[in-house]
Amino acid sequence: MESDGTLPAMAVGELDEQATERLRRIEAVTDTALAHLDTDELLHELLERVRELLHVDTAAVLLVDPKAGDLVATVAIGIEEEVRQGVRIPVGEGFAGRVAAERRAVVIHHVDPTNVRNPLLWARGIESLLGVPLLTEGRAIGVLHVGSLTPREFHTDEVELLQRVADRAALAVDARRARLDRSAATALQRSLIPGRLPVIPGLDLAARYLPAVGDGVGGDWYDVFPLPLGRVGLVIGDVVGRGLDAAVVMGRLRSALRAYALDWPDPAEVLSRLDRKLQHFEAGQMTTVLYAVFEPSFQHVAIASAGHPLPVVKVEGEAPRQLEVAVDPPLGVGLDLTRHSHTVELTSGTTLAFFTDGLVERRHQSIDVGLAELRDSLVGDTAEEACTSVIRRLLGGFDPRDDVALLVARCATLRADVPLDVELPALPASLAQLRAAVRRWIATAELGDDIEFRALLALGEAATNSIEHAYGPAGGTVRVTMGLDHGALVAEVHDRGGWRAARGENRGRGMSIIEECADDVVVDRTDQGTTVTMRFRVGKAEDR
Amino acid sequence: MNETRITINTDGGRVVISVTGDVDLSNADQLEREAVAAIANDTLDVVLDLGRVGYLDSAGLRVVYSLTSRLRRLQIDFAVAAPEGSPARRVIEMTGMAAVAPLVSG
Repeated sequence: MESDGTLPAMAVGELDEQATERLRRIEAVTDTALAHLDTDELLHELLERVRELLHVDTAAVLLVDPKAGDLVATVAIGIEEEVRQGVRIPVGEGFAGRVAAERRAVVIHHVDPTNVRNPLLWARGIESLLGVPLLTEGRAIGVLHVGSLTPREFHTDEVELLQRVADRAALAVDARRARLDRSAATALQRSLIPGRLPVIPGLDLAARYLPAVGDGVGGDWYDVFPLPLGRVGLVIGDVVGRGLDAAVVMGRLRSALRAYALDWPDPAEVLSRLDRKLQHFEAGQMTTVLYAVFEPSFQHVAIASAGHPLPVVKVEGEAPRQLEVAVDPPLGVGLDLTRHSHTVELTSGTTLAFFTDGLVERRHQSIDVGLAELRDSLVGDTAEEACTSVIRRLLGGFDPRDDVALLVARCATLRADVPLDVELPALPASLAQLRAAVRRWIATAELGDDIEFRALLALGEAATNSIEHAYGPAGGTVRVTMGLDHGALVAEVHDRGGWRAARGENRGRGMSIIEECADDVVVDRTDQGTTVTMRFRVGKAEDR
Repeated sequence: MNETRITINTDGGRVVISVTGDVDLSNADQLEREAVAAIANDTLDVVLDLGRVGYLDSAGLRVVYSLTSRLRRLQIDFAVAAPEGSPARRVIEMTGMAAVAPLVSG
């Protein structure tokens, strides 16, 4: 080919032969050998070869930003400034905008400010421009244009050639974008779904999240968090939709629900506020969600459901059944309605299985079949065993077509002859969790109000000491054990730090309270930590 | 604070601060701030009603003690209301605080 940039009349066959060879090289760029390149690297490589193939001075790709509907300069050769400046061109305006809007090739023989909107192009001295659209499924997702600093014609064969390059580029960009969306959605989902559930004394928890195979993650989520004063919040939800958008909405709802949960004890109230938030900030999004709040004693749980399937409940010695309470409409349906909480009584050993519809829904099969399988398979001595059993039974044979979330909560069976043993972060918020566990255990052991009062107070003071004095800012844990031993309740509070002297006014009263409450106290301080051992004689208060 | 609630009732020169729920290290400071904010300097007397408190430990006692000494300085009468046998009363009696903060049965 001539190198002066103008195309002499040449035999079509000659161009074809040369062009075909070069096109092969371009196609090689989009092939699997270069699959590891990211979109920008790939486009850059393509443009280099296009410039060589068509003997042009500049080459650029602008991609449509789906949110704004603008074309954004993404990769450029010879006019790199276009990318550095982040040039944005509305679809329909200027040269590139016209290519995208008309979804066909556009040639400009003589560039001037009247036919090219972007000043960078004519300031660069470009005389002639050829632009073709990047099309996928009939939509323009971008524009590829080449320019020459000297006036030139663009031969029909060259236009076709550039269009073929653009088609390859469009496929590659689309595939990479979808892959990026999927991996971003997966990463987001992973970061939002708790890898480890919180340790809550008396509540045995286990969960599974299985993303749908092939189609990218959806908006399923679950969450468990301790609330003030020993209450525990549990959430399971399903944002309608798939991919990154659903995952982002899910993340926002998860945070908002936690925030409302901190301020409002009633689950229906929390869901009403969440609904208002969703309708205002994420208009058009719909989601089902179930929110449950366990009372500190774990004798009651309050549940509100916004269109979400109710849990399967298994009471010890009874057949599992799906909870039957009224379900309110999903969030985001745009109705100003009153939501309802339902209180469910729990007994020790009761198991609750919360799930999203992906677990029980099958193509060509009634949902009742899946629900029956769930009820049948909810077996095992621990929440973890129950999860394994349910997943094996319902999904053992095949990969899920929809996301699946399963969250099993089991109120641990307490026994007076099995010592209580809990370890919690050395934080003030743990005190309520600790008291809830101690109250439950003492009630199980039927030790009476007086021991409960004294043990709660003495343990609370010892744990407060660990929280306030044992650790530096890095923090640590406090472990509490209690059990019956030769007619006495023996409780230990253990930390791995070294108590420093109490600071501030009116401090340091805790130790005298412990001594007042317990019949015997031993404080053992070693390099490994501090253990406070307290004994309470079991019997009537008058006998003390 | 969540289920631990503080209710303030002002009647003439009397301020009644009622607390329900548990008081521990996690919320004692907040209780103190809210109580102090409710007491204007023309208040004649203050009653801290702990009758419906389910748990109170040394962190809560610190609030009681601090209120006692501040109000004494301001010459505002102060009493703690807690029925016989209630958890708050037992802790106050156990620690000799009854001599400092006058206890009434509510």
